[in-house]
Amino acid sequence: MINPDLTVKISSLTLKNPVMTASGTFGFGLEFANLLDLSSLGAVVVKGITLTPRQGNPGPRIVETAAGVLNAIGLENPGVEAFISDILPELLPHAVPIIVNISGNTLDEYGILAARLNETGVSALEVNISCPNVKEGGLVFGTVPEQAAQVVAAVRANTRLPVIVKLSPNVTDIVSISKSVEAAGADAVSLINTLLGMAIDTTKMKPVLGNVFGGLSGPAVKPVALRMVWQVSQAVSIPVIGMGGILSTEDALEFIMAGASAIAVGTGNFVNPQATVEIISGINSYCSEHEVNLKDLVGMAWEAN
Amino acid sequence: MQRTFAKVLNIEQLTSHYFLITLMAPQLARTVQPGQFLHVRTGEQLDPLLRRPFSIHDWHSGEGTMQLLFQVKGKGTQLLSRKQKGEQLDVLGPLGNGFAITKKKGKALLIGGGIGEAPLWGLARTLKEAHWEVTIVLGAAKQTLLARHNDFSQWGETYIATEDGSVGFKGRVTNLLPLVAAEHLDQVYACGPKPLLAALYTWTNSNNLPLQVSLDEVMACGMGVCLGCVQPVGRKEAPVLAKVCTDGPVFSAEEVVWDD
Repeated sequence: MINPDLTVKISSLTLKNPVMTASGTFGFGLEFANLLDLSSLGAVVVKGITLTPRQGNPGPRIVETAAGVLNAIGLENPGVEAFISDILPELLPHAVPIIVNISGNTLDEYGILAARLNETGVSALEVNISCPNVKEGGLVFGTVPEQAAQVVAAVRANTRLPVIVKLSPNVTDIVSISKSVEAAGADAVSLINTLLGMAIDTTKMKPVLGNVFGGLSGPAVKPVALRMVWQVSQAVSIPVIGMGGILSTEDALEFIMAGASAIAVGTGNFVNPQATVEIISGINSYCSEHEVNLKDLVGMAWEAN
Repeated sequence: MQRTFAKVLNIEQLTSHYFLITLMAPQLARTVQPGQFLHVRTGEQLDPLLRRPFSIHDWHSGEGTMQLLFQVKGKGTQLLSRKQKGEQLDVLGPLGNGFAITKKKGKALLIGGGIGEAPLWGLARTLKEAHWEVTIVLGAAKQTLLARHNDFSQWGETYIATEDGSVGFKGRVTNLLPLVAAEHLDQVYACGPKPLLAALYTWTNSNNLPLQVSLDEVMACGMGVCLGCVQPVGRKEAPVLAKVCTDGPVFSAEEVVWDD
């Protein structure tokens, strides 16, 4: 097969390929514009946006652990108004779907954010109900199925854009959360956000991170992420966007075969800022070689089970 | 800024702690400013995972070469120290804002603590080529934590201090400051441990001298997207968090909120 079909449909949105960027690891995309062609990506998911600007947590905010990274940035961002007026006009000409990750402290804030981003040219919303590094909102909404559903309903009522819900792995039963956000109107789910963790500096005899706890990402979390993608994708009928430690084509294919319709590169962008484009080309070669389209591979590992 | 695979032309162990690696990176070498850094992947392995930032020690745009002077501290720097001539190194750069040369010519004082001498070499050369008069003060705990102290004199008068007295004056860098004629200086540049930089700021402040400092912070991306490497700047009561990677690594000392 010379040109395999790599397109992915998320509700009304069609991505030219399944490779996206994970929120918080790609800035607003512009920072990468001289390293890769942004328009070659399936979508750019931008840094999490809140209603008002946030300064984030005090440092240290980041520490490397075995095959992973712990971060406690705390959703530092310029706020939705600055995003729309200062950043979006520079980003939209790059002709790549822009997915805006939104976080609220309250249900109302999620609704206002969703409404504000209508008619701005962005392609979809990713609803963050799983940030482990902020005190209010964030993770709280992501760990209780009823609360998660309320957030999704608040967003759904205020937007015509496709709604992706980013799920937390810090739960007992990720399947019940995913079903509850699907029932509330989510068009897709993305998983996983980071796993709550910590590190201690034995010289200073105290936690390394200023926030004490942080979110673990990178290859260390990949087996957990894969397992959750496998479970969720078989339990819901909306597309699953898989992420967690993807650095290579091989990693991406594992997620797709586990049931992910699309994938996102997160921490991998820090290690290899061109990982996304290398993975797109790798998936294309793999599909060509095996004479399959992308959708034939989604969940392929279930059958053998 | 670009990502490139740079060939290792040479790697040399200078002391029990320090290595000097020479890379062929013509595209990158063309645009370097003193004080900028390279973000280096130490290998294909997943642990350590992240790139490591290193100040650019020296570069030659004509020859297309760049040098990094680094101290072996952890797993990443250990892997880097084992690179062989001919291997390719995945590097990203040049990154960050380097030292600003604020006048056509003048008198500069460069102060390095330990591995802080790394970016001062390229700065000293640049200043000298711009006909600045350069004075250098380097200090470390012991001789093996100084690398090129004997070579720095080609750029200007050089003073050395070690805490154990193994080379130069026995004491700290700050003990040598009275030897410098502060009243004739136009600019002070420094790189080293934070407490040293804070002490220098007190000194430059009392002598009414401008000080630029190169800061070191744990980084993930190195290009301003992860927001991991923050440094409080501005007013102490209401600081703003700057990114060391893209707002720095060189800051004007008066911007920095120094710990008490």
